[in-house]
Amino acid sequence: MAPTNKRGDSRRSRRRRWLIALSTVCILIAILYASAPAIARKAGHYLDVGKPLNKRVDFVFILGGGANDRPIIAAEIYKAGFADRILIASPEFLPDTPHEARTEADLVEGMLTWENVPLAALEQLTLPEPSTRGEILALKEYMAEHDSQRGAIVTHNYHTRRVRLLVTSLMQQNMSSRLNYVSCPTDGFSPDNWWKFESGLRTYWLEFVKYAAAICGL
Amino acid sequence: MTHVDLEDSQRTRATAPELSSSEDVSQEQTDYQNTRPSHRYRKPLRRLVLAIVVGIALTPLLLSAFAAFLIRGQDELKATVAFPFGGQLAFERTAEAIGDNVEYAGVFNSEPNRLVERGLVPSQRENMLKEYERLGIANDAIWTAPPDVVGLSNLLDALEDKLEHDPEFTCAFLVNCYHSRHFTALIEDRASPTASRNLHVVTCDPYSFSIWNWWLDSHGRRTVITEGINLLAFYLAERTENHSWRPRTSEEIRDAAVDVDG
Repeated sequence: MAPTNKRGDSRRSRRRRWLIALSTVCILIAILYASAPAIARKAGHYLDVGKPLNKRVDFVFILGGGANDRPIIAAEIYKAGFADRILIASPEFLPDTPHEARTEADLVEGMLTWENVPLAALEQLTLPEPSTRGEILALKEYMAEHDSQRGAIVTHNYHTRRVRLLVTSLMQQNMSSRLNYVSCPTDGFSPDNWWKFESGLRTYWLEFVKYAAAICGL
Repeated sequence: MTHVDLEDSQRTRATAPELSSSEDVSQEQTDYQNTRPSHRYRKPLRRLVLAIVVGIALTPLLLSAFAAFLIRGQDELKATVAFPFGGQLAFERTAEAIGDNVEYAGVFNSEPNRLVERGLVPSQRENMLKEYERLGIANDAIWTAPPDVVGLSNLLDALEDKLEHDPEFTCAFLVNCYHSRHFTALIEDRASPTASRNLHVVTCDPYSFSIWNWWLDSHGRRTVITEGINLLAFYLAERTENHSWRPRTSEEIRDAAVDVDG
């Protein structure tokens, strides 16, 4: 028999409250699970703010971390006659890099010459720190020296939003408005299916963490 | 609970002027003050502050515990073939163990990327052979996987085949300690349980930071956080989809460069 006193009632109402809370959580989880692919797709596209270049610029800046594919995009822009100059990020060696290894900038240069871009069109920018922030600071310095030049930044699609955030926070508006963002597709996955692949999950999660850190100014 | 307290407070306020004894008045005033919102939140606030203080005090312990969680393997290097994956220290350890606890240093090729295909960087096979030569490992102490064995999955398949013919054969993979749980999970996922018993993961200390206070070093922070994400991605990724992974063709990449019509 159910207790009828005040204590029993409060216990029953507490139990009812727990039951309602638990059901709500379960329903929310079910909704989230059912719509997870749609949310993940939206999140993937949210990070991609780049698009193919549709106008002429003065330079293309290739960000580091993608020597395997980003130079192909920059070379194509150059060969299409959309830019005359390609800037390459040149960071210092990382702590555990073997000394005899070529720098990433050398590899990017190799990829570009393999794509028939003349060496005369290439220029290396030395970075104050080996990070995306360092690359933007180096570009800022370059743009200050080359006043009124328009440019395009080439990086992977998931990286473009963070780059744009850093550009707008580190550069003056008249400088940042002269930049375009070109997305390089990633090997094996895209914003439409990244959550299905181990490398996709790895890449996008890490990018969300880095993007959150960039928003917090870390 | 809050509802009852409010009722009490209202009742106290209503009866307070009628009380005659000064002691009662002071008691009632204290009760009234104790039910003010600022007092009602004092206890949970105190608990929250305590939780934060305890959390901060326990942070080094939790971070070390996370490092300990990432480590799964053995310290001792004893095997027929050793594959050094954990950077320079792993190569040096393999070279030291050759002739004593290890018979052969292993070589295999990873999946080629565009940089390797275009001859801009040496393949993994070339890199390993070069490093063995530098460390003075003789050619007859090198076990080379067949040329068609490309990538870790294929290597594990090849080793499993070898184990079927030679059950005494043992293999050690020297990996950085923070990567050892991920690597062990990878082996357990791809190789059969019988084969897994003869495939050992040997942990190596990281080159540039101490794993037990990884959070104090920027490289350590980056490495361990990335490894945590990698491990989570490994457990959550769909295995069937994962096998359909393929690199893009250069043409696919070129298509994303310019919009001539735009």
